[in-house]
Amino acid sequence: MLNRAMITGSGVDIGMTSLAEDCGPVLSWLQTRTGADRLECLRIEKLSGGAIQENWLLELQITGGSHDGHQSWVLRTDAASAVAVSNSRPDEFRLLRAAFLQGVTVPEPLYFCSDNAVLGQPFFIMTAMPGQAQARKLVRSPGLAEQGSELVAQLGHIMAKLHSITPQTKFKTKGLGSEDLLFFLPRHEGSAASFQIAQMRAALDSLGTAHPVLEYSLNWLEDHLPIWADAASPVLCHRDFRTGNFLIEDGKCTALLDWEFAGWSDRHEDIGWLCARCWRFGNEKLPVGGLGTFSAFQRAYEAASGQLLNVTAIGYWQVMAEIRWAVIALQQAARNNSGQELSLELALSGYLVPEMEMNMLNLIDEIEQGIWADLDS
Amino acid sequence: MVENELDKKSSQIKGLVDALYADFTGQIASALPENQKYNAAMIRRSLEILAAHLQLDNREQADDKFKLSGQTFSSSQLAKALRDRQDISVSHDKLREDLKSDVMHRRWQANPKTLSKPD
Repeated sequence: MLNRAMITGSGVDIGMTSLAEDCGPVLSWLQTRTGADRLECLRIEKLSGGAIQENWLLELQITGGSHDGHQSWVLRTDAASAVAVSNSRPDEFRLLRAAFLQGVTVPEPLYFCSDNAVLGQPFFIMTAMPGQAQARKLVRSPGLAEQGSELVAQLGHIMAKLHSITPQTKFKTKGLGSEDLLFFLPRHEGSAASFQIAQMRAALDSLGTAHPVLEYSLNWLEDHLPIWADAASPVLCHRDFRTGNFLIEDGKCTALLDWEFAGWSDRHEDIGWLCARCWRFGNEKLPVGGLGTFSAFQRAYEAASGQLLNVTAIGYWQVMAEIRWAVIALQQAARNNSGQELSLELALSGYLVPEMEMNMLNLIDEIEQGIWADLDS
Repeated sequence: MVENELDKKSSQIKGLVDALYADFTGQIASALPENQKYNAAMIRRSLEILAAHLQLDNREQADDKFKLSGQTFSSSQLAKALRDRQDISVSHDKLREDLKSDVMHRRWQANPKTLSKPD
């Protein structure tokens, strides 16, 4: 039986937010879910990063129940404002479960709470994983020269495993037999490429500001659809698979994080995003996220998936990646500019857009002139 | 007379932003704790952008920057023409060149301390 007196929460290393000030309801809920006799919170700390979500590290000492012993878990919930296109927390939990069950390198999803009385909004609990996610630190890591190829090969394996999930995949879950966990993900008519173009135009319309470079680039992509649009069945794409969204420890990826944008798409979308110039953090010569060569990634991906990549298509998806990141940056700036959520970080996002615009125009020039050799294969 | 008053105000604002920048980077930022360095970098960058914006003259701030085949387009007019697939009688290469030139200016405005101002 739950005994509130047996739950202790000492909020240390905290920001001034409600969870750190009063984590009692969350701990009570966790004690019930784990069936623990006693649950003590040794440490609670808000983790850095995440404009859309908040992540809190919970160091717990649990006595009895399903998770007896010391546990490092992460509580994930919405930040002050979310992006319209991002998946809800319940959906992100389902995505994480699907990825975990498929053997993708992700934190183990443990519990989901839909009862708003506990925290005020839905949240879920997953295991904490070791490693560094900060992109600028990772691309400047001294070990990169030695470990980069192996690391991007591992990323190729992980992505191939993720892309083995299709709309037909059923997941074996405890007691329920086989389950369609991803029933909620929208399907679209036609190619993922043309769907993305329509989505970006709709997003620009919602912003209500003029962006001729983005309009030009979208037209260019549309005019070349026969070259890069793949009519093949979609696969599960992370849609934010990039340096900064996975944890690295000792040159190895320990977890792929942040599943809020995942959806059915063309496998080349994830690869174009990972290899986009805007996500290399200054390591221009290492196309796979500023971490390693494309050939190492490609060999691993193709071996693990049994699918040959269309490298030409990746160039077009790189242009799309620049457009999409530019649109997201504009949406972030608009959140500040409208007064919805005042933040210098959001305001400055808008000033990143010319970088992406220059990247997309240069890529288009190179592809048009037949000199595009951005990936080293 | 009105123009002089505007110049004076503009000069005062520029002076204020410059002084704020000097004070912030010279004294305040270095005294902040480690966990505020990222915020300090954002404030510094914001002040640089503000100062660069104040350097622009009215012509540079006006939204009539694309001159294509004898026609002048504002950003919004060009964006609309492109969305509507209107024939703007200009080659793709020339259009990309003009778009790049506009991007170069906005890139400088966003990074005035690290990039030189384009012609």
